[in-house]
Amino acid sequence: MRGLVARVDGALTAPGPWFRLVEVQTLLALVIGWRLLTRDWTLIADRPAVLTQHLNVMAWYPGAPPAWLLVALQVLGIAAVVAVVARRRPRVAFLVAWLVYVALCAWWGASGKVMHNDVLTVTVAFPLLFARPPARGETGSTVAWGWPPRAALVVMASVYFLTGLQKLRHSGLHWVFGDNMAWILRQGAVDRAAGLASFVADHAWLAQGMAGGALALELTAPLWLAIRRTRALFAAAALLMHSSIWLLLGIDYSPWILTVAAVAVPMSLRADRPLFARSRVPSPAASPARELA
Amino acid sequence: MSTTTFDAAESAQRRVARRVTVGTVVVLLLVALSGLEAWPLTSFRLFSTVRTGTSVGLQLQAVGPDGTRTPVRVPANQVMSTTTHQFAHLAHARPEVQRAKVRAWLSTAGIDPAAVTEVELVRTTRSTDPTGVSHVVGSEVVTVVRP
Repeated sequence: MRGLVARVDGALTAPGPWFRLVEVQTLLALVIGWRLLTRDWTLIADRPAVLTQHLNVMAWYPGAPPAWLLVALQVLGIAAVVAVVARRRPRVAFLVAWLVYVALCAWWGASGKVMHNDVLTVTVAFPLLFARPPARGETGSTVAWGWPPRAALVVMASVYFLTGLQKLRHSGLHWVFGDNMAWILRQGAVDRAAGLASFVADHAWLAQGMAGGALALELTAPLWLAIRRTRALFAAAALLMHSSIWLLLGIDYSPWILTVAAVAVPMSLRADRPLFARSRVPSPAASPARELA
Repeated sequence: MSTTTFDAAESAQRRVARRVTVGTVVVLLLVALSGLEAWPLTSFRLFSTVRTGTSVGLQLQAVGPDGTRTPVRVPANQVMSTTTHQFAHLAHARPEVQRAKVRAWLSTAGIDPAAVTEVELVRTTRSTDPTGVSHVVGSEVVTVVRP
């Protein structure tokens, strides 16, 4: 056990290349920017104050925010994302973008139903708030640039694992081997996929296979994401799972797909290979810690 | 930067890495196990309950002076449509809160509260058959609010 803890600690805290943190931070900022850009946040102002719930991080704000404030925050958040991409004070800019995103999403979801659409992005980006990104012109490999993307992987794995664990905890294996998925499809299918949903629901092996596949993916996420060579596969599997949920049930988990890609794809590359390089960086001496980077 | 200073900086970053990563995972685990829902802290209960062929829904119905019943349909955008999850707690709210919320729902649905005698919160039980067709098998008025 101590050996395993030491190995995990060694993998987390090993030095990492400057470009990997820049890639992951930039891609996550772009996910945040895309969400900020593509929603009409002023709908929040149209919700009557009496229908606004306060069980969230913005509970301290009295009443409902006015439309002008929502637009101002949206603009501020997008400007911060641009600053991250342009590498202008990226640490502060990322923090501002994240705070704006959290505030707007908290208000958006303050209607009485827990909305999970943006939770993965918010949670996975959290460790990067403590990162010290490289300054312009800084290169090389240090612990400061190695741990944040790995921490993001750990948090992502934890979220998926907990999602699967909660299904087991509250429903047991009946979630997979009962008629659960069939009823989800029969009751929740959108019109465009009614025929396909009905076909899957009518064939128990298909419905249970879908349910089992989803649960297995969630529970084994830590394994997929711990091994460099399977991270991109996890991203592909997550794309398949969330896309099928959208296709059949109309639920938008695109931020989850993009967040997984933003972290898992760069982190699936060898430590000496930048995501957008035209030529390879000279390979450092190989070590177990770097292989897991 | 001297080697000693560099090593000290690396050690400091290792401590930050451990604290942030372990701290975040511990918080996620505690929130999940406790069932707390205070966004963005959530217990990640996504589709975690087992569905059956029977489903129960709540809906508001506006009753006019002539007894005509009209469903109160809130706007379909995600912000407003999800306020209907508050129906489940309406019956237990204080009368002034019930009245204020019902008036708000009527307004967003484009119904003049002054034109409504009362609003019924109706619980409807549906059974879905294997072909996906849903049938109402039960309906009861949970509470009545005068706006």
